[in-house]
Amino acid sequence: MLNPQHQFDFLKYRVDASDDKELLNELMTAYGKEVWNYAFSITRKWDLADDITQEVFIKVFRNMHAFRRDASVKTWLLTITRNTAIDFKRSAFLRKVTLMDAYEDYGHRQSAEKETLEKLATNELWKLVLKLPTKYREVMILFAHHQLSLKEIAQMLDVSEGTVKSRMFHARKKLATMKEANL
Amino acid sequence: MDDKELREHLARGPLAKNGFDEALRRRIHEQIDNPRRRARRLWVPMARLGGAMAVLFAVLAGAWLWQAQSSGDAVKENLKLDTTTQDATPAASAQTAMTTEPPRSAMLIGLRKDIPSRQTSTYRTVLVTPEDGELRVNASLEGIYMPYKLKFYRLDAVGDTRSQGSQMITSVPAGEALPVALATGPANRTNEKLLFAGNKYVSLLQTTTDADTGDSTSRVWVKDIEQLAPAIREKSVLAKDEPHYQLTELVHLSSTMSDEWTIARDKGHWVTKIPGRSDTPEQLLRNIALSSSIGPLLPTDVSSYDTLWLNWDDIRAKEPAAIDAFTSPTEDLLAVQTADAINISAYRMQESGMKPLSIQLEDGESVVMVQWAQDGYVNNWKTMLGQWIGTTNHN
Repeated sequence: MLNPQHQFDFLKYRVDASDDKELLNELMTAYGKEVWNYAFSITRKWDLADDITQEVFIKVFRNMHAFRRDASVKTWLLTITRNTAIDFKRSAFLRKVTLMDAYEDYGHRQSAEKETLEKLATNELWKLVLKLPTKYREVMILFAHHQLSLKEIAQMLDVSEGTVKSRMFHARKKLATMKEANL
Repeated sequence: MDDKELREHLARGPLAKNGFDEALRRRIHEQIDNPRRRARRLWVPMARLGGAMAVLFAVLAGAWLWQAQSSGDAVKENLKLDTTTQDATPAASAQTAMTTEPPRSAMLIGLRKDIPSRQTSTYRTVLVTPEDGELRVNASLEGIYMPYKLKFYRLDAVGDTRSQGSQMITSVPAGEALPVALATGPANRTNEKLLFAGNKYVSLLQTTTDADTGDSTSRVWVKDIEQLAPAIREKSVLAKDEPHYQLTELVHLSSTMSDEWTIARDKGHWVTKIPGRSDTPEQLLRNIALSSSIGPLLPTDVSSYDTLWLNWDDIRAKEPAAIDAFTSPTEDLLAVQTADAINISAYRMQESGMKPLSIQLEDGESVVMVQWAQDGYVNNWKTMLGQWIGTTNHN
């Protein structure tokens, strides 16, 4: 949901901060974890989440003037995170050389990542959510973890609220099926 | 599971371990701490005052807007801003305050001209300096003259001793003779194009063609200037083992490993691209142009200076047909590339104070190097490069 407090905090920092770096630091303290979590949720890869997070904050640093005061800082950052992840994915598809990462990975790296998830996942529900197909995983995480409203999610993904509702419905249904299968 | 339960179960992050740690924060700061790329260097004292006023105005206007508007199109607007403003380092109009001081910089431009029918390329270097109230071509030289350490190196394409139609890039300290041809093996023909020349590193597009089958593969490499020495080139072409730099050796990226990557021009900056391989150099050049850049800004040892002080709106206001642009470190020269010319001006001066210069580009010609000299180094470069004017490739 939109948080007016964030709004004012950002504006306050924008004026108070002696330089943009200080403001960046504040943003990283407040949202670094959220940005990284979102990048990881999209990619399911630790290294890639690091690189995307790095790129997001560099973009933010270079474009602080572009922040719209009528938006939430959180949705702004999450939108940049999503766009950056898409850019990474697009460039991964375009290149035909050997990569350590493509989003849908294979072989031993996939096994290693599964193992990481098994070991480090916060709880069973997260394990299941991270196994959802991208379009369902995305809405579920934005709604339940980042606590965005359906309207905000729709705006962020550039789809209708109805589409978000429908994806949420299918995400829940898939989660229930996966849960039953795990029992 | 209802909404409340879902949010409770997923309130914490996906992993028990925190991914955004101090190491990552440090890494981000390290990337940003590159002083030559920091946007704040833009702010001259007057601009700082103007900027503060602009921020104050924006805050007041923003607070009003925030109350007055719903957040309806905010995210979409952000997306637009995010993509458009990344095109150039932001610059306030105060930064283009006019002056009567002549520019303190000289511009060295390296150009490659492709001749598709022959799969070959030619190169030239142009030194532009401010002289007596005008911008002038002070030196125009065959080949690429790249500053490296305290001297210049000459890079150029040379043929092969078997006359198979190969064309490889090699380099020698300027003033020394380039070999007429490099010894190659009988199996392949090798054709190369220089894509980028910095202060130490270069990027090449290499096409190898099997002499028997005619099958060819084009790929890209990043090398340093010393790896282009004739003896090393001959050895590497014969051994089919090109010395090069992996992406992660030069660019801070932990997720992507690639031997075949390049440095390319994109939206006013030199960027990293991984275009893959193609059957022809033309196709690979297209892939480079179309592929997205990846990773953070290039470190300064790869691209020593790469700041655009004007935003694209200002650049296009000056030159609607602009496709690329460069500005000097002393913030006094602007070079705008169009489809057929590079137009250079002292953008803070009236035209009557410093006459601009237009360098016509030939068909198939593109920029592979831009270097700047400042103050006392301008005369050094004029003297050094002046002695090689009229030098052909191999003498």
